[in-house]
Amino acid sequence: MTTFKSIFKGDVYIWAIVFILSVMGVLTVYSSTGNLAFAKQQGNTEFFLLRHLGFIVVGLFIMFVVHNIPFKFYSKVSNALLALSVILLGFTLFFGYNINNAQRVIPIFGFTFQPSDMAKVFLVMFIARYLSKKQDEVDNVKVFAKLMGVILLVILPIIPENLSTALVIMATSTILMFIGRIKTKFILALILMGVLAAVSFYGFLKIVDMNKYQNTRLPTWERRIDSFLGKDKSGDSNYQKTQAKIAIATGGFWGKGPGNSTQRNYLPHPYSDFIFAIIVEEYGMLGGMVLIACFIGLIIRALKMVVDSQRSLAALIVLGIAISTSFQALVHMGVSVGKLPVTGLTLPLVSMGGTSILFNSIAFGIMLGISRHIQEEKLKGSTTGPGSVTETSNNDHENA
Amino acid sequence: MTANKINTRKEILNRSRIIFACVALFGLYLVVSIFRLQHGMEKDFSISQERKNTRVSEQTGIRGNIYAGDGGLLATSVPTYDLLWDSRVNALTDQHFTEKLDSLSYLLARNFKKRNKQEWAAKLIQLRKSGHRYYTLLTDLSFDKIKQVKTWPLIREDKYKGGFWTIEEGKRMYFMGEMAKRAIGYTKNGVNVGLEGAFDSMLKGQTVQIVEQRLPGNIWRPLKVGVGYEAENGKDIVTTLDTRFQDITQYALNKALVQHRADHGCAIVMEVATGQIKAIANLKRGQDGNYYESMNYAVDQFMEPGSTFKIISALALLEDGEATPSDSIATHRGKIKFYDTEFKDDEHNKTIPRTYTLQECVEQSSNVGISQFVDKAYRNKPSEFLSHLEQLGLTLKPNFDIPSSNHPVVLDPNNALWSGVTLPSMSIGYATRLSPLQLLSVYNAIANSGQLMNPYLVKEIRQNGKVINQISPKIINKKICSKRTNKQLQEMLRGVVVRGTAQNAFKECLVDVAGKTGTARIINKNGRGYSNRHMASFVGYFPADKPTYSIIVVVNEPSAGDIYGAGVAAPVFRDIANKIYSAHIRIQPELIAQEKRSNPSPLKGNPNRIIPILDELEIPYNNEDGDSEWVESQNEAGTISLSSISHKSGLVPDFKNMGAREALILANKMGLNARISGYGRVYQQSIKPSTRIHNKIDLTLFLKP
Repeated sequence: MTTFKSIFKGDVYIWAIVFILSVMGVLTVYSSTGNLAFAKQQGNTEFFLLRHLGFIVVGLFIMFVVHNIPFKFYSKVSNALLALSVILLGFTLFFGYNINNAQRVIPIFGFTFQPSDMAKVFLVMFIARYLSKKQDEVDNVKVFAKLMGVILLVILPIIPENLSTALVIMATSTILMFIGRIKTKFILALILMGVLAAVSFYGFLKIVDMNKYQNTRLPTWERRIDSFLGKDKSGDSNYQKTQAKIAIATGGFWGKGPGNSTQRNYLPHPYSDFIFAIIVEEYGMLGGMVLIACFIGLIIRALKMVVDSQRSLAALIVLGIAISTSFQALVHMGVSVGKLPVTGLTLPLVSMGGTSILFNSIAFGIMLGISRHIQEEKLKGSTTGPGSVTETSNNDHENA
Repeated sequence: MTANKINTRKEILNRSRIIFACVALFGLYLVVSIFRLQHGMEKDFSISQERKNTRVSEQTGIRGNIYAGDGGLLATSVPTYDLLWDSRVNALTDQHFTEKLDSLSYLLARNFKKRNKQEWAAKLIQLRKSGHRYYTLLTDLSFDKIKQVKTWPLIREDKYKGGFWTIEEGKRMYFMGEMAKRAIGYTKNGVNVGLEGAFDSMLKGQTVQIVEQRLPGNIWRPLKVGVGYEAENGKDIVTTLDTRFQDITQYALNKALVQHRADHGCAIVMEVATGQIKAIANLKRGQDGNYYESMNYAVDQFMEPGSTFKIISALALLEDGEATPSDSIATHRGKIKFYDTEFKDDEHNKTIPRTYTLQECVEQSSNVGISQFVDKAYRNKPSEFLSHLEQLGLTLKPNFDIPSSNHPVVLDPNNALWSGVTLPSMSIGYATRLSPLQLLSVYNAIANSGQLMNPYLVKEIRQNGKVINQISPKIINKKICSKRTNKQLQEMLRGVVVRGTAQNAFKECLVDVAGKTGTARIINKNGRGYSNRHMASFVGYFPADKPTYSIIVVVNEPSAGDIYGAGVAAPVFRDIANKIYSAHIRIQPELIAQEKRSNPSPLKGNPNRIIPILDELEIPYNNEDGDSEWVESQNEAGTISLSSISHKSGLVPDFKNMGAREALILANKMGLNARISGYGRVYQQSIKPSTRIHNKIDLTLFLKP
């Protein structure tokens, strides 16, 4: 145990969550890539298993490396990486590779790279950093406006290709701003604007002639929203929703057992967009509850760190990452149980998808790094006594 | 730490807790949702919807081939394609349709000249207007053609965009023309004819029901794959037919039918020792005066045989000790009355002596003589006479590979139609209806030392080139009569040819023949009395001393003067016997001797069809390019190696060493109109390999074993 702790530093619970998610992901991805293997790899079902396993191993390695990097370092490079993300997003928008009529990936070395996954992590870090720096001016409209400017810079290139990811990033950012003490008035105004924008956007979808936009994402969005509102009973989204519900309904409490899913054959992307449905089908209500507990537990651990840590920057980053990760997970689950419109959101660390795993690993690595830092601080605190508090708060300013 | 800072942290924590509460509540909501789904508490949802997503589709294997006994291919299936159109498919907008209409109709008109460009365009517009959703636009396209068609505007688009899709059909091809066409037969809309019909269940590819699942994007994936879930191809059947004999027989019969302006006729050649049918020809005069295979008379025509029956009467008399060949009987100047019915002997070309021996009665075909012999012997015990017919299997419907649609008629004393005239009538071949094949079987038994064989037409069933069922000759009756009787019958039949009714017909015959003529009047169509129409026949075997083949020739309604079996049917027998004898018996005494090869000569074709053969023969082979569609085998030091060959589209391929089926499939794919000549493997082709293929090119492939 001591050796384990000396290698895997930081919060043990978060490490446990990482392992549970990874194991569940590997099992379910293997079970649900049968069709994909049939279609793309001549039935070589191990291909996707090994690839996913490869990403998980690389992800764990990244986590390990990142959580050992001093927290100062990545808070410095995060801005640069966010800028790079925005450039890549713009690049994808114009030159990206088409999957399911949605341009959202760049092919690199035979893999597909989704810049939105990258942007998400670094945007969260940016917001946390910016807010912790401006804690004294959070009531200032300018601060809010500047922040919104950056957020929109990231979100706008994502919207045309992947509206749901954009919305999740927007929502996460809003939550972060709320936690970061941005005036509630601003937040409410923002939400109001969002609702207005959504309603007018839906109106726009209804008004325009879809025949002219067959090659864009517009018809998909219209169908998905219609389907969610219960207007389109026959469409593809409705089909997916029904199949996901069947998966969940037939899972029972204990599930059908690993590899026994039948709905994996009906659901599109059972290994990513609908992996939660397959998990409930194979591992039952029990499996579902474990996963929900993992993601809620992540926030609990983050809150614990906020209480333990003396610095608002670290606290905000940890909370931001935990909330954005869990928020995405819960939206994914909400889609699977048919409570939210169909989106292409993955379940962090569980779903197949290289970029998603890699950047979630970075995010988890940062959380673990901060928790390591906090633990070491506490350790130091216990040896040096209460005097160390002031020292830490000085560091806080230095970092910010 | 300042108080401000502490407040800041507190507020951050409090706000975080609010968010956490929301998230936790949503998590709880998810758990409740899962619970509700699992316990059927969600409205608008039930698990029964699952069923919508599987379907059962049928897949059928390729129909088997029919081969001649000497290896020639009689019938095979090649894939062809139909192009269908759903003119109202959702994604096909008016604008898009109009845009592409011009170029599509141009290409259609250029390649399918049944309509010009305007007409094609009009047709497409009309289809779209009337909303056809399942219209077969083009049929019977070769693989190559359909590949080309699929590059055209609209057609090249997805099924859900342009609305076009294709289905594969198996097209049956026959290579013998009119030869044995009726015996090979066909199946069409549930009508089963000939071997195709009789062996349909074997030839037919197995149809399997495949459960398919719907995948997103309306793709259907079979749930289970592998052995038992894929349609098995049909079995091949190998007939006993010999293409050379068939050719000879068909030709000789046709010649006689034309010469005698007959309505129809049939001829069968049977191997004496086995009962194998070597040739079977059925010809009927068509509207245009030519003769075509349209009815299977050999099997289905149950008619009064006439004088050819007399040998059966002789058999009964001799076997039952009622007469010897030298017993004589009064001829009454060729006329005798049984009750009201007068029996007459034919007087043409001869004067009738006062008495005939039994031997002479058969040789001269005396109605008066035979009927008196039989009447005298069996008047009071007709059932003894009838028991011989039973022993010869004449009372039952024959058990032949091609089932008869009619049945024989043999009266018995209990029948209301039985009268004092019945027995004498029967003895000379009336009042009984038999098929040519039945009668031939009896003569074949006499030739075969009294052993009655069941005639058969299929000798092997094969699957993937492997023999799975070898059909051996079947004996119906080991001994139809004593050795002595049989010998006497053989002498009578030889006498017919040497001294009797058929002596003129066989003067120029190369081989000694034994047989019997028959000239029967045909009963009126209303069933009352006899018409002026006749059925001329000759049935017998050759060589007389060592019978190898038996033949029956039946010519119905000759109308050019001669109506007699001797003049109309016997010459056909002679022509067939002459040719078979000179070409196949004298020169090749061991006709069926098979050369055993250690390795097959070079093969060319699809590896999926070649490899099972090599596996079956347990011949080692290296497969270098197993995935390619066409491979060629090279024989190197006892092992076969397969290497891939490719055919450039647009150029005539090299067919050398290909079997008929492989060659035809390839020709069809390349868009060639291929004809087969001979059997075995291709050794020559009428157009050199690598010649550019123009429209509608006709190619002849010459095959030899």
